[in-house]
Amino acid sequence: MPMSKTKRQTIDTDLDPVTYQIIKHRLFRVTDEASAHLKRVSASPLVTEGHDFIVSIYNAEGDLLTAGMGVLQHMMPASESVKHIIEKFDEEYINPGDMFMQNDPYTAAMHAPDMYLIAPIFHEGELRGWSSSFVHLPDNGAIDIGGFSHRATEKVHDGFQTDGLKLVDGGDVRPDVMGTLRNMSRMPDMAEMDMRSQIAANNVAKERMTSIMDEYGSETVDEVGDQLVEESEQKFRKKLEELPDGSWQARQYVDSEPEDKLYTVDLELRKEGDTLTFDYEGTSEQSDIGLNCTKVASYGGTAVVLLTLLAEDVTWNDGLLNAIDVVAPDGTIVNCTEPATPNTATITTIQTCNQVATISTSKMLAANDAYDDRATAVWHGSFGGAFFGTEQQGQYNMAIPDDAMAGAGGATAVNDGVHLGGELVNTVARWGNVENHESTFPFVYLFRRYLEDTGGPGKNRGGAGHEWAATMLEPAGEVDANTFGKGGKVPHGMGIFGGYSGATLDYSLFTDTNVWDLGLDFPYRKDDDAIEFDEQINAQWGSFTMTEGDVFYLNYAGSGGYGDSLERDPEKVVEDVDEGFVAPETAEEVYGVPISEDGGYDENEVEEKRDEILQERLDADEEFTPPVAHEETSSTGLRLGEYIDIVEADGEQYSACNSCDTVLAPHEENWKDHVVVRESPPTDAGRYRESHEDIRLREFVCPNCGRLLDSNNALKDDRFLHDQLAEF
Amino acid sequence: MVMPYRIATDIGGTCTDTSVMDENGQIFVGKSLSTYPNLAEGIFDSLEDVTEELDVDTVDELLGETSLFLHATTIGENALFERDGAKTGLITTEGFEETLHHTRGGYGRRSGLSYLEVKNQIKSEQPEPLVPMDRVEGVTERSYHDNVLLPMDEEAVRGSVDALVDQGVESIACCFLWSHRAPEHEQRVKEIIEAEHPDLYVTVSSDVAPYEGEYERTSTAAMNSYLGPAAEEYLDELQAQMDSRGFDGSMLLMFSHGGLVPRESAVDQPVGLVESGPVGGVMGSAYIGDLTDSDRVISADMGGTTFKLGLVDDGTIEYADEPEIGRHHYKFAKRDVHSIPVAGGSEIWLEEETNVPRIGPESAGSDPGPIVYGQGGETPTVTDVDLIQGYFSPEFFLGGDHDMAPDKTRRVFEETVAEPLGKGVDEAAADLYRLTNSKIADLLRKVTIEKGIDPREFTLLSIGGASGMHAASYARELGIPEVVVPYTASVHSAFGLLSTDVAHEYTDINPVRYPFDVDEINGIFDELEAEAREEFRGEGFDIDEVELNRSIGIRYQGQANEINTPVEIDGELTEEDLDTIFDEFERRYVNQHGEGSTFVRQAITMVDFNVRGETPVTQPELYEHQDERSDASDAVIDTKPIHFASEGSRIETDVYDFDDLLPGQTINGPGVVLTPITSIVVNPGDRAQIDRYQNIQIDIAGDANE
Repeated sequence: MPMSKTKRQTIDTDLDPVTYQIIKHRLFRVTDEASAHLKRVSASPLVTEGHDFIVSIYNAEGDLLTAGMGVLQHMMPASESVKHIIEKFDEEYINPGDMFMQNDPYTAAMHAPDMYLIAPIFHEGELRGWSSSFVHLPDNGAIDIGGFSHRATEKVHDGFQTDGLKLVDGGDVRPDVMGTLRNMSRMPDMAEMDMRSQIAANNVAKERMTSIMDEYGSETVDEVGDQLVEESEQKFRKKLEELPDGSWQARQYVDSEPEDKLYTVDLELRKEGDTLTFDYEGTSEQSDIGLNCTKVASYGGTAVVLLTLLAEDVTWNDGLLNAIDVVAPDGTIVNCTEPATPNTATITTIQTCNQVATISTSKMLAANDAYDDRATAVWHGSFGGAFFGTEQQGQYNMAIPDDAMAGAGGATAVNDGVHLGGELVNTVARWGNVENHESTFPFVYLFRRYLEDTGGPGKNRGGAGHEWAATMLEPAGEVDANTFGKGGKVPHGMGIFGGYSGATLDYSLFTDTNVWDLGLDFPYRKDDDAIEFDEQINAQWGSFTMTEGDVFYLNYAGSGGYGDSLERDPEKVVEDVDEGFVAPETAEEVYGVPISEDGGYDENEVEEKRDEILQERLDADEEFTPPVAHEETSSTGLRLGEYIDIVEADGEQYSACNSCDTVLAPHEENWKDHVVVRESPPTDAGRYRESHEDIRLREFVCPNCGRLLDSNNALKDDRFLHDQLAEF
Repeated sequence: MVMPYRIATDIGGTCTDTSVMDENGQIFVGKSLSTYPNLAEGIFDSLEDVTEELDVDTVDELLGETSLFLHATTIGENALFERDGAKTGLITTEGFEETLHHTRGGYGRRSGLSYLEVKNQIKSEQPEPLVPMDRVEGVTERSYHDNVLLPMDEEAVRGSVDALVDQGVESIACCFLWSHRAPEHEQRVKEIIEAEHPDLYVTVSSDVAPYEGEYERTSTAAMNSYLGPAAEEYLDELQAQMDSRGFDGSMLLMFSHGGLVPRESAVDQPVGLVESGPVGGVMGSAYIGDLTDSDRVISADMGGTTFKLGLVDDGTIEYADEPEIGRHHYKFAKRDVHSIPVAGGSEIWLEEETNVPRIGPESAGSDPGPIVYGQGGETPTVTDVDLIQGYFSPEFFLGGDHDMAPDKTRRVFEETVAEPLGKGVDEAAADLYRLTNSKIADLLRKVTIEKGIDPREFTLLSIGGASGMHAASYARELGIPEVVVPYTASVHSAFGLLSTDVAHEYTDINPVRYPFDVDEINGIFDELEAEAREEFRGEGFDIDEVELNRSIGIRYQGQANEINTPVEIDGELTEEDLDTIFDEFERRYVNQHGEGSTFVRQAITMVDFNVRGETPVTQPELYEHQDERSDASDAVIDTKPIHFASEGSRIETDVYDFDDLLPGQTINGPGVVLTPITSIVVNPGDRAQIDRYQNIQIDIAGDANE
């Protein structure tokens, strides 16, 4: 245990540290407890299993003090939502026992189904703080069920929206407001239960906060709150100071199937001293359909990755945000302007912001020894799925298969990715049981299983994703299927430092199949000769009708790999093949590990095969002359990621391959302009990576030793990403 | 021949404890070190120890005169933590072979981790599953709700079993989709295996965990088969050894559902043995509560590494929502025991960035232990803080034979904690004492107030080596009016077994929705109760003695958690009875979630129907001492300055020897009572009394919000 030997009064306060510690933990318990109540009262699987909610508490000014576990990217906009209520309403309109609804994406929500409920906390007649909870409503009356719809082209298509509306007045639920919300939802009961679960959560938070204030005095609690925010900021900034200054870039594409377009999300992370700036300059203009993020959404979606990457031991609150700036140009898909709709933001562009922020932050972490073990490839790049809905016994009933919640862990500097290990931005989600989903809707799962080769190859392999399929049972009749997602045309589980990305998604709707003749199986891609159907429809986006005998199929992406796959321990490759995570041909062609007949490997064969691949990588290259010889350089202890060291000679800095020590280029130039660049289809990194025709797998290879120094998927004309450390 | 003795033995992490009750209800205790891996050795050592107190000469003689041997064993936990359970194979529905490995996504990756570990997500991993992927076999079959959609291919079952046998498995688990409602395929698999491979241990999920949710059912079945062979061997061996030494009574095993079961049931469902010891402790607390006329008891056990807490409300102990052990989920009617790593051995340190003091989670355990134990401990612990406060006297500790290091404790504490905090030793120790109690109070709040339960209506039972020095203080923080330190505190779990009934639980998972059909509900209870009677009869119990208690798990449609609602009505239910049941459900619901949280009755769903059968083994009638109205001052062995939070300073305080205190005597706080294994602190204003059973009862003064 760390033990401080000297007295260090970092925070200027009279508050006794033990009292501080005691109240701080009481505050954590408040959000935990409120979350537990919310979860128990809600009737929506998005909440009870997916944990698609968050509860947080604020000081009187609306600054976030602490938040419970949940969809973490909401943590940042959540203070905007409280501050907006403070601004919007006169003081006299905000009274004890009131609660305000808010779900306007241009104010604080990520998209219209995200309903906030905000409650002032009064103590001895004074406004002393706020509690707020948000829940993803299953339906708020948008143009299509569930609200993820490509048919919505402006904000007004997204159903019921308010930037502030009193639902609870002095402790009483207003029947006029609740009635209106019910009236606007296809699933009024579930919507009401969700609102009631939020009321319960706010009630608990308010009660507990007042009892802490009773016990310690509201001034002391205020002081603890201030110190909590200050403490987080100080701890976080101190960490930033331990990292070198510099800039790191990442890029990803959002495939818009309905528009037949690819959007580019370009990000540069700049670190100066103890502040971070995430700059989205270069990102595509906003979309005509709901792929867009409003500014709060891209802010949340970007800053969120820092929580677990660099603030895992810091209280998550506004103190962190003070050290972070996000620049998102107006009118782009990361900061859309009205009347554009962001209705699918949470599963499209926000997640893309998560991805590029993960990659750029990980590159920063890998810049010296301080935090390099925390660098990670992208976790669970591809969200997406289907809502099924139909009339049952006079009521509209929906099934929300939550398979996307299974996620897949990205490979990190020190570990393989966890298969179906969840996602980075919702640490506590879980995936519902088949029996849970089947219990109230007439559909039946055919399988749920890992899909081979979905995990991105690398020195450390990305976690595998899975495939699932379902068919409708009699008497389903005509079922509405609303499907949505991204990643069908670009792999979204991005790899890092030469690690390859995960797979692309395949959403297929097969009509009039032989699923029953096959014993409730449909071995698409495993045994294509066996399956029979009338039509295979690409169902990544849209509204369809399904009926008995039709099969819906979807596979997820798996996560990114870390480092050059030729560096992977052959023992682990063999294990992956044995367990069905890697196909034998991938083991041979991508990992350079030919699998022998008994399922093992031969060391000599591996060496031979790996040499052969290294040679292939170099084949096209002419003789390379380093700008300076390795012998003349000395180490600086700094790196551009896993494979590029920054070395010094005569006061000049250079980038060098740390595998063979070859100096590649002066540091101020992009080393990528000086090495071997190969372009090939993304499927060269393994099966199931069929992508848009203009997407290339771009590989940067050391011209001397053939090490794969970096790789990414890129549109063929896009410039190379350029990472560099600041002058030193 | 008269067999006057009843023996209860509980195997713990460090010690194996025995409680023996004679025909007069007098309790004798024995203790010895637990012996791994041969646990039986420790049992006999502990019996040896208690024999010295009894009117018998040898263990054999004791066993010969024993009617009941009650036992809580850690065989289950050990096999899971050491990962040396059986080589197990798994049979599932084809297409869902990986259910166990999927762990419902991130759920398995984060479960069982602390809050800080959960936040440190990128460093977290799944636990190694109990059955590796290459020992999972999928079979063509499919059920859906109550119906078979696709018949089972029996040839495929035989092929799968053979393939597993070829791999050398010792046990097989089977879980098919929807088997909790349509168990026929699983039952057929069991028949096939039993017919063709009678030596294999087999578990089917519909037997051991008939609940909705294939992941939890699979995981429970796998765990049960993983533990089965070892549990069977252990129990057979123990029975044989006991028999060979003259035992002619019955052996009953403690289950985590809070009841005793015959050996055969324990062999069938060893998953029920897991963590049964701590549940035994809570049962003991319930019994002491009963004796002292309080049916609302908080059972607080503070030992060296963890603080364990159980709640007895209205005489009953709550069930755990999502039990897990060693980060493996399972579903079994398990009584809830909450724990936090705050106990005597918890290490104290200062956060580097902020200089804020922290306690645990690391523990010095018993080796090297707290600094004061003088066994090489270099890091201050909670016990060291207690020493500085003046709460225990090194010169009397464990009979005074040990080399204690009180001076070193003060010195190290001053250097590493007090000085960096800019405080004096006394002041810093008082702060840390307060912080320790506030952490415990947090857990207590979580388990009571946060669930709508008022701790001020409870008695706190204080058990375990470190407990007596803190209980009165955190009790005051929460407004708990009474603390009881039971006479049997040192072997409390073993004692708990003596007061436990033989019990079985029966569940039918069958969602019943509006409009409710009362005949359907009566039918379900009839079947469950018939099953219960049959089982008890088969075990040789008198059916008239068996008490059957009903309850229904109720929730609103779509919710994930139900509220277990007792049905206080026997016999056939009527429509009006349903309303009474729903009233009770709503009362409990509002208690938990507050006014305005209930919903329309049409949305009520009854999800599971439960019958718990209990038949009492004759309850102990504890020996009652006569009250002595004499003065406690004869028991004073020392007077010294001791620190109390309420005073903010040290005051001269009498120190009493427990062995010299007599029933009926009272101590007006401040005071400290030394027992052979611990100290009990009586704060200023509080009043302690020795009751007829030699328990120490402390009345707590003041209110929670001082």
